[in-house]
Order: sequence, then structure tokens, then C-alpha cells
Amino acid sequence: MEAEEEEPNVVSRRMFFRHLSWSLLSFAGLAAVPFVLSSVIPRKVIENKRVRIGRPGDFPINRMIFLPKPRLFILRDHKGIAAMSAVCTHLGCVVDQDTSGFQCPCHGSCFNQGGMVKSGPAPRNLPWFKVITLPDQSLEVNLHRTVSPETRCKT
Amino acid sequence: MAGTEQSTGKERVGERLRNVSQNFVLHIHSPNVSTYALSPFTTMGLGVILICLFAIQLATGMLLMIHYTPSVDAAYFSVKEIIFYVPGGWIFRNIHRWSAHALVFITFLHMFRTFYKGSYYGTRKTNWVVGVIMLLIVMMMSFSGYLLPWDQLAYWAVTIGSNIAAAFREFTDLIGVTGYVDPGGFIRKMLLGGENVGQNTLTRFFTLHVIVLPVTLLGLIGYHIWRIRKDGGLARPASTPDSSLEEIPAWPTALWAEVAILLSVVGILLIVGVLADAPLKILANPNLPDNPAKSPWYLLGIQEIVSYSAFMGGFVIPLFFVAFLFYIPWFDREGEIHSGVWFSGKDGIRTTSLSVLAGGIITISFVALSLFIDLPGDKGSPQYIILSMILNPGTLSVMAYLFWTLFVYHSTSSRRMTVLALFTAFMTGWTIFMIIGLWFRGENWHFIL
Repeated sequence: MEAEEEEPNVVSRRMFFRHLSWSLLSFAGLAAVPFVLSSVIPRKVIENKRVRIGRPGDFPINRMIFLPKPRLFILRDHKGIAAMSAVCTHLGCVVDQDTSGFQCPCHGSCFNQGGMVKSGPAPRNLPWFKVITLPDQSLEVNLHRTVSPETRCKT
Repeated sequence: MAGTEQSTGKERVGERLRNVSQNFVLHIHSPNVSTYALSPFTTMGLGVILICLFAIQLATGMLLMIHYTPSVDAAYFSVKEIIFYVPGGWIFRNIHRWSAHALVFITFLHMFRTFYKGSYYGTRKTNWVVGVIMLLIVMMMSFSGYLLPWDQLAYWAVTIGSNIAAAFREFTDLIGVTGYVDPGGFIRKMLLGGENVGQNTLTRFFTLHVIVLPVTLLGLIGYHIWRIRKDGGLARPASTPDSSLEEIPAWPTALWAEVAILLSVVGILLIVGVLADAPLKILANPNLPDNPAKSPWYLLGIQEIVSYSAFMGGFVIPLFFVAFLFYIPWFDREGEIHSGVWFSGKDGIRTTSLSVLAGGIITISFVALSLFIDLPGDKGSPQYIILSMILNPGTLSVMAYLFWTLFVYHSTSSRRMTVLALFTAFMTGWTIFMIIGLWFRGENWHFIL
């Protein structure tokens, strides 16, 4: 290779094509990266963020009822209906209900009846979600909209 | 070992060398090895054991893969079928599981051997870095295999693991930008293929486990072995006596030693596989975590510090440690005097044992303190979160290891001693956190004795 380059400032035809091919190849490779990577990103996952949970009469008064599929606790009291997340804000385990509130079995975070952190590594309170009544009187929880723990859906 | 056929003369040696250089398998070795490299105490055969384990993983893995179905509905029952119906399926699964644990454990031992014998100087830097990458890949492989049986253990270990990957969110939450920028959530979404552990997750982990990671590892193993020869064989002390540098043909001496190791590894795994069954819990239940839900042992140290603070324990501290591992050969370039000498001699033995002591005392006292002292303040408030990120046994211990390391640096002014101190303190602390997670954490992650 060295022998061919007698005049160092002049790029030989061979070198020119070599550089050109490498540049084109790297450019093609780099250009492919975003496409390959974006194909790995999960497509819009069809997860229904509005969940129907039944009618108000399905829930006994003054108790928190656990619904497995949407992972929610549903509270019904004399003011109305409210829904609280059952997923621990630390690392995503499902919390257990006990007499004083909620406990996470994975790393021991404790929450009170209103979902406020009492102890443990959980960084946030358990969120409460907006509940609305549909025209046919059934209830729908919107998992996109968080509300304050005092908010109730009047029934 | 070399004595058996010494008398056969030069012609015979030449014939052997020809065999070695013309045979594809034998070509992995250099034509000659020194008696130093062949001595069982030089490397304790850890690298060869790892190769054997990896080969066993490939073989048993392929057998399992034939019967396994990577679908949420069928995965668990296909594993049951492997255990109870496929002829010999149970023993392949047991060996695959125990061999996976051994692979992680011995990879750590291999790293300890390389580190404490100072085999990362000069051109061996590259191989150290490749080794660290391979350690990470081995752990990822083991973890991705964890989900495949789709039992309770699998489901919750991966739920927790993927949320640890999203631990950066605790930081973005704190400064209130999660709604706009959420790198933690993005990483988790990439891992899970969605918001929760589900079919997409199983498909992704299956692909990682059977194709992406093993093929990457295979390539890196080849490079790792090739580099040993490029770097002039195993690192050896300058004081090695000439008598142990005698070169003898690699074939058959080295090959027989390796075959002996392979046979022992297979034998031990067979015995363990017959005696101990790989665990399989009940079918995954997305609504009821096991209590306590524990990750595999090599991640329990991380789980323990994650139980203090997800951001520090799951993101900052592991990242810091891996960065430190990569940086070791560039920080400590004291070079050939330490090469191949266990703990770099007497000073190093003292530094190392003092570091074990320091790391142990630091870690145990901070954990003990945390059992009696509760942080003041309104739980859930930003001030409290920042406080708990810093004032928890994990973060405080790591800061104390760093102070210990600084102390060693100032009192010895040797960079080799400095890395010995930090590495040893870190590994001691990690082991203690692992033991706490393993035996001293019960229901709801409460401390038990």
C-alpha cells in the first residue's frame, strides 16, 4: 500500500474509491440504525385505559373491593364511588389490603387507607382515578386521569 | 504430566506441532504451553470450566427449546411437560438451571482471579473490558431465562427487575418532568414490549435468551480466547523460575487437562441434577405476588439496596460499580511488577483483608442503624425522597467505601492498592447485602433473624 503513494498529497484513484466505498458503506449502516432501532420500540400497545367495572350496586358500602383485571381498589361510601390503583409505586407489585391500609409484599412499603405512603421505599402515594357514570348507569374508570383521594363519583 | 512421553525425541515433537497447527480444534491452543500455565494453581481452570458450562448450556438449552412454547398460555404447561413427560426432560432442565447458576458464580470467581492476580495490565486491558461485558451478558442471559417458565417466581422477578430498569423515573418524578421526558419508562417499555409483563415480554425475553445473547457471547468468547494468545499467554510474575517456564507441546497435555475438567464438570452437574430439582412454582398470577418475592441470588444484593431507594440502588450504584470495573485498567497502570502475583504480595494481602473488614463493618453497621432509626419527615414529600436517597444503608455504605479507598490511596499512594481496596470493599458489601436479602428478609421484606 505504502509503495503506491509516491506523492503523499495526491489521492490516488485506488485510495479515492476505497475512501468512497467505506464512506458509503458507513453512511448506509448509520442510516439504517434509526430504522432498525425504531422497529424494536413496541408498537402502540392496545391497552384499554377506560375500564368498565360494573354498577354501583355491585359494591358494598364502606369497603374497598379489589378488582384483579384492572388492578384497582374500588371504594364505595355514602358520598359515592372512587377507584384507587393497587400497584405499588416502588417496583410495581400488587399491594395487599390489611386492617390499617395496604402493604406491598415485595419491599415492604406501607400505605394508609387513603393510599398515602406511611413507610418503606415507595416514592409516591397510590394514585386515585377518575370514575364516571355511563348513560346505562354502569361505572367507568379512566386510568389516564388521576384525581384527589377525596373525589367521588356521585351515584 | 509432561513426563510420560519425553523420551520420544525431536521428531515426535515436530509431528505433534504439525498436528496442532493443522487441526481446527487443536488450533485454539498455541503449539506450546509452559508448565506454569498448566499448573492447576495458576488459573484454577476457571476459564475452561466456564467454556464447559457454556457448552453444556447450549446443548441442554437446545433440547429444552424443542419442547418449550414461548406463549403466555402454554409456556408453563410446556415446562411441566418437559419435567414429567419428555424422556430425560427433567434432568436436562435441572442441569440447565444449576449450570446457569454455576455459570454466574464461576464468572465472578474468574473475575476475582483475574483481578487479584493483576492480569489487566498493558495490552490485557482489552481482555479485561471484554470480560466485564461478558459478565454482564451472562447475568442478562440468566435473568432472561428466569421468565420463560412463566411461574410465580418468573413473573414477579421480572416485574421487579423491569421496574428497577425504570428506576430513573424516581429522579424525573422528583424534578417533575416525567410527563415530558421519561427515559426510565422508555427502557422498561423496550424491555417489556408494553406497559406490563405479558406476551410481548415473553417473546422479547425468549428472543434475547435463545438467540441474541448466546450468539453475542459466543463471539466474545472466541475473541476473549484469541486475545490471551495475542497478549502473550497468561500473565505471570516476573520472578517465575525458569524451571516452570519449560515449553511443552499443548497437544496432548493441555488437551487432556481440559477434557478432565469437562468430564468433572459434567459429572458434578449430573449428580447435582439428579439430587436437586430446579424449582417450579405455581402458574404466574398477575394479581398476587409471592410474599416475599425474591429475585435470583446474584441480583438479591441489588434488590436489597433497591428496597431502600429504587433510584440509588437500581440505577446510580450499579452504574457506578460497572463504570469502576471498566475504568480499573486505565486508573491502575502500575504494570508488570504486579502481573500474575496474587494480591501483589504482602502489602496487597494486608490491604485486601483490611478492606474485607472495613467493607463488612461499614455495611453491617449501616444496615443495623437503619433497623432502629427512622427518617423524620413527611413520607412522600420531595424533601423526604431526596433525604431517603442519600441517608439509606446502600448509599451511605458506598460513600463509606469511597472514603476508605481515599484513605488507602493517601496512606499507600499506590494505585494498585487503591483499586484493591475499592473492589474488595464493594464486593464484600455486595455479598453482605445479598446474604441479608437471602436469609434475613421475610414476609413484606421485614427483617427477621
